[in-house]
Amino acid sequence: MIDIAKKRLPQPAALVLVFLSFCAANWYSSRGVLAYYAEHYGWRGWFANDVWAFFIGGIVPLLLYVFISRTSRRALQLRVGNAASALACGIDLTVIAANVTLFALKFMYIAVPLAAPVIEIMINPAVMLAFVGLYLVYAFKMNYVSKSLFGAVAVQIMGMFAAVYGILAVVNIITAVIL
Amino acid sequence: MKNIKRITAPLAAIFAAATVFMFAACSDHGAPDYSVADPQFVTELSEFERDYTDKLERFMDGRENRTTYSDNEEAAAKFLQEELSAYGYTGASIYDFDVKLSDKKTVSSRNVVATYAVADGKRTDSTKNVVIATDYDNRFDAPYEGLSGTRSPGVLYNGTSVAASLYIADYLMQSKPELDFDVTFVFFGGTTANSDGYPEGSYKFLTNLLKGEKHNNTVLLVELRRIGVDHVYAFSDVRKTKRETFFDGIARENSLNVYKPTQKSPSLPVTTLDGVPFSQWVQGGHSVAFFNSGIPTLDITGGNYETINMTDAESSEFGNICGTEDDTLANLKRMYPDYAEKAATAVSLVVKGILDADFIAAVEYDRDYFPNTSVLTKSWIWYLVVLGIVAIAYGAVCLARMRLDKKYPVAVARHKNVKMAVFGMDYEDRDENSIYIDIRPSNSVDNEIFPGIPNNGTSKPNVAPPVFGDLINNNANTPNSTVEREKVETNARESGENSTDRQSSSDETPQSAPPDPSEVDSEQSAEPSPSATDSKDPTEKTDADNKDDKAGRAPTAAKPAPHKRTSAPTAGKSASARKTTSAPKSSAAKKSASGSKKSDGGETPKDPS
Repeated sequence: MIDIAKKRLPQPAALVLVFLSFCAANWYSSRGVLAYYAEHYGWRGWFANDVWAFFIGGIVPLLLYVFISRTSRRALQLRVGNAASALACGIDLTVIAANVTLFALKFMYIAVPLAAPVIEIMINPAVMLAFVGLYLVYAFKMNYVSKSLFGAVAVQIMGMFAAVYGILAVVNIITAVIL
Repeated sequence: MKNIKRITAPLAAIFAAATVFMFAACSDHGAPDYSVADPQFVTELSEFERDYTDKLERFMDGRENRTTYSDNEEAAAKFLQEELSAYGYTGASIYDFDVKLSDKKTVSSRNVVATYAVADGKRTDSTKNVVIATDYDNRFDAPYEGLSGTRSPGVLYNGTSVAASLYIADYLMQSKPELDFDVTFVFFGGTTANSDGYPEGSYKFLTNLLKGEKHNNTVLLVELRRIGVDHVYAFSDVRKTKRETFFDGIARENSLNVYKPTQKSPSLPVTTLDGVPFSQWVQGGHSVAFFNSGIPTLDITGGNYETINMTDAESSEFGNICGTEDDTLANLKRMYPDYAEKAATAVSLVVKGILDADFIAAVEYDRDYFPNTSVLTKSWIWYLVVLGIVAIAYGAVCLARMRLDKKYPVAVARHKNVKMAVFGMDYEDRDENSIYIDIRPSNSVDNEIFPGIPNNGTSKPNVAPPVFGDLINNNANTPNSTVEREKVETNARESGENSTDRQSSSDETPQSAPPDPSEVDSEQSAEPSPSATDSKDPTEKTDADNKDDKAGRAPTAAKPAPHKRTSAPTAGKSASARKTTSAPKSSAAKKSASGSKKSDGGETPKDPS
């Protein structure tokens, strides 16, 4: 089995790839949001177009991901020491792969445009959490962390992603019900 | 570099494939283009252009200012009524309505309504009604306080659509087809203010005039908007409907270049149509009220949604002029010289559609089976599903953790007692919670409680028990290795005269000196045999030191060793022997003390278990 911990990308390259992957995964929803605000604030086509929508869609997710992952990485380091860097590298690659998969899957919206907004709500957390779960299985088999500590580490990593999507869902529920 | 290529290459391949799919999806698929064929308009294009332009110019003549709630709007309404009357619509009427503004001020506006009625003999209680609508007012001046004027003459928005509606009305009255349903022409006013989220004119028409049976019998609303720009779009519903298929067929049969919105047009995250969780640019503002009341709609809109521009663009070449001072007849003719052809496309689609034999069946079906997809607009339900997904994922990992913790428990360091095996491990009951320090030498010959007296009768034949002092002298040359030590001891046993010589030399030393406890401690803790360090290099580590180092323990020099009980002569000799070797022993003690310092600073003590 390929050991991805040994195939580490330079940190800037990894960050760029993560950003581009977030851009691709969120492109569909960012188009609609940008078009809506363009109408509301009178933005013209030089800004309200697909190119800007592509890059704008990745900014907020990237910032959120960097903040949370760097914070969690420190906690991981306290728990598992040097293995945290191997895990962090793998998580970056997992996020990239999940986002690229989302980008490809969202072409299904062409076939079901009516259900697209509903699928958009559910597909992001479902695919991302699935990929994170697969990565945890991989990390377990590759023995990145001693087996006695792996359970706690897995809960911490999955908890990080689950917390973000859970909080976003709760905020959106409150917003939808109140507004 | 190699690693970067290995990871980014497959990712780049997936990205490229997805991009190819994206561009394929965003192609003109869904936007039929029949321009290559000979379009079949309702009349010859040149004749149409002449008549259409005449109607447009007559409408715009002196009526650039049609500000909502103003006298100018009333004047424009009167013009429309007169035009329709001139066509033959004797029942063309102006319907006034009041609007209460947010500052409690009441203003008035009006709709113009005319009906091409079904033949008298064919009218029944269930006679269907088709509405063809557009709005005629604008915001040339400020309609009310708080809203500014745009100084826009409103040719493109919405003079061209008004002219198109007038043309259809005129065409029907001239051709006089016998229809099984009514065709109602409505020109909405009051469009710059909203009531319950809808433009006032359409809302008031729906609630005041289309009530009861009239509402139930209305099967379609056709709204015309911004006709004359790049493309003509016909939009029925995001959901699959019969009227969409029907009008696609009309466009195909008559080679009309009618576009349908594709994925290039963004989906705005705003719910305006009931059951549709997003909005699109092609949706007209007036059709929303009809759609949400259950009446199927057909939006015929001018625009260009085929580029990466995501605004409500009129053209790929020019910026929008609707709502600006540039929305003039001269600009329309200059920027869109084929505006008449676009209007002919829109008019022909409507006229040929309503004159088709299958028209009323298709729209009646959609009216009767209006899909209810309101659950799609209740986003909180779907976010609850997301919470469920999150809970399942987190719960699965927690369950996995429980199993892993059971299967691979974390080793817990248990407190253990340190005990001295005074008489050797043979006389100790081993206990899992205790650590034993065996101070007895490993050699079985030396491992005697009383030197010279074999333990448990395990005496060796032909081996005289050596004097205690001889044992000490012999061990002065004993190396650290157990094997080598055994060899030396074997040799010592075989050569008995060596022990006699050593015994005589030791007699000269004083015998009354009491044993020094510190010397005893260092002697007994630094070596497995009592005299192992007598002439040893103090810097050399003993087996005990090695053992301690391996066990991660601090050297036993720090721990007090129990005193040995020996007989008087041997005690004296051992004391003298100890005295003579005090210097190396103290340095051995110093060495072990420094060794303990080293271990404290340099390595993490391991769990003895």
